[in-house]
Amino acid sequence: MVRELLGSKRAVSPVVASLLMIVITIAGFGLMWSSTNQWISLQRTNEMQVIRERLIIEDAWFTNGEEKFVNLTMTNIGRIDLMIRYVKFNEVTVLRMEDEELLSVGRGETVYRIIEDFDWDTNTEYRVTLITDRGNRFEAVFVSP
Amino acid sequence: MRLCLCRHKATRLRRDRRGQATVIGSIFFFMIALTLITFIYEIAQNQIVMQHQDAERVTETIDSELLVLPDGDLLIKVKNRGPIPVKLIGLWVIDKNDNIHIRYDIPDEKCDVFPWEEIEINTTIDTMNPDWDPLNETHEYSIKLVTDRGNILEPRPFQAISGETITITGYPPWVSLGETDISLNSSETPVYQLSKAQHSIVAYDGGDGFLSLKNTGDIAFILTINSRVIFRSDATGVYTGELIEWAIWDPVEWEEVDAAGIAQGKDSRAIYPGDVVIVKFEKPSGGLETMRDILSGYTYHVYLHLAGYDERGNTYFQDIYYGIVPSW
Repeated sequence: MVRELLGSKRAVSPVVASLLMIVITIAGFGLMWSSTNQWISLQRTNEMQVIRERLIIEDAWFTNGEEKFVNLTMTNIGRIDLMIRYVKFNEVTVLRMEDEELLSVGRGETVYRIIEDFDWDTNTEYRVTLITDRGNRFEAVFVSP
Repeated sequence: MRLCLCRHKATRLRRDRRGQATVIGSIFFFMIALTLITFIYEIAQNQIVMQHQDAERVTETIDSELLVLPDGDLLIKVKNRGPIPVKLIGLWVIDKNDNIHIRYDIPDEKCDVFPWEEIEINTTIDTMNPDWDPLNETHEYSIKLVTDRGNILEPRPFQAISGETITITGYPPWVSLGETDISLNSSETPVYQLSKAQHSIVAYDGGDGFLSLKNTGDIAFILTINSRVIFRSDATGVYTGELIEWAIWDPVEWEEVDAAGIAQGKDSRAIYPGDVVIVKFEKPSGGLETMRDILSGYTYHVYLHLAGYDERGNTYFQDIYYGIVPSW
């Protein structure tokens, strides 16, 4: 009887097929689950950080010494630290910071940044735009002296 | 016999695998759905928190009085007229003659102003960081008070003559600059009152006020009845006119949006990027004596205070300065 059963191969194929199906299903779900989870947690982190960013530009000091430059003062009024990547004046990029030199503004912190070699015109309206690393734009308008 | 049947049934149920896939599939589906719902819920919660913060920022209302003291000191009186506490975080003093900008920290004991409370900051007595640099009597100065919610109170520039008092009252005190790109529209709208045209402003002649603007930004926004036109005169005070309606050029005809039916604006017509709008306000009233109609014969600084929501659901507000307008 035992010998007969061991010799019989008729039920092997359905068992292997079932096992394969189970493995494929589990692997498929696992893959789907982990990628969904990863995507969601990434989105969650990004979205929430984007939503929580707030920044004000308190002042733009247009100075005219040996060289013209602008001193920008900004305060983080949001609920998260942020990094500034771009500074634009009237939609023209005057400062683009690489990853290692991003201007960091901690929560509640006031920082300033000097924009060198910016040849501003007198008595002109400038729309200053700061773009953060997460893509938020913050703007203010200042008139040069 | 019954026991035998039950045992048989239990064995049958254990071996019956029909419906297992449905159950497992449902569990998988619910797990994914639950994760997605949690994600959306958390995003919504964050949106609500930040909208609340934005709304608080709009709600802040403070009056201020600046008095130039002998020896170039400054006495700043700040009164909170709003329903929420205000925290002052910085004082800017800008010397217009020498083009020098100095930011002073407000002393800790003077930075919180609770509703209906008034505080006085004496720049000599109170410890300022950096140390107070006395004002020069022959120079013109500009002052900015910054709150922790991001509002900036900025009165008109003044001469630092001892005894000179500069009062800033009324609604809204802010001339804070916006987060969205809106420009005054000079030539595209046939607005006959207060519109900027060819670098001049058409005089206001009483009655309803009309202002034109164009959304040159990249996001749509929706106005609410909290929008105001503000006429400010140092002699007579501040007058405000409530939003009545606005008309959007669609671009075949003007499409009117009635402000009266708008509760908080979500159902009203959005102003999309590129839209040209005429905003209509009632005759401004208020002034030093409340609810009094605007007085003729004075010169007014005119502001447009836009309030509403942008298409991302953020509270939207912007104060636009139109310039000096002689009244009728």
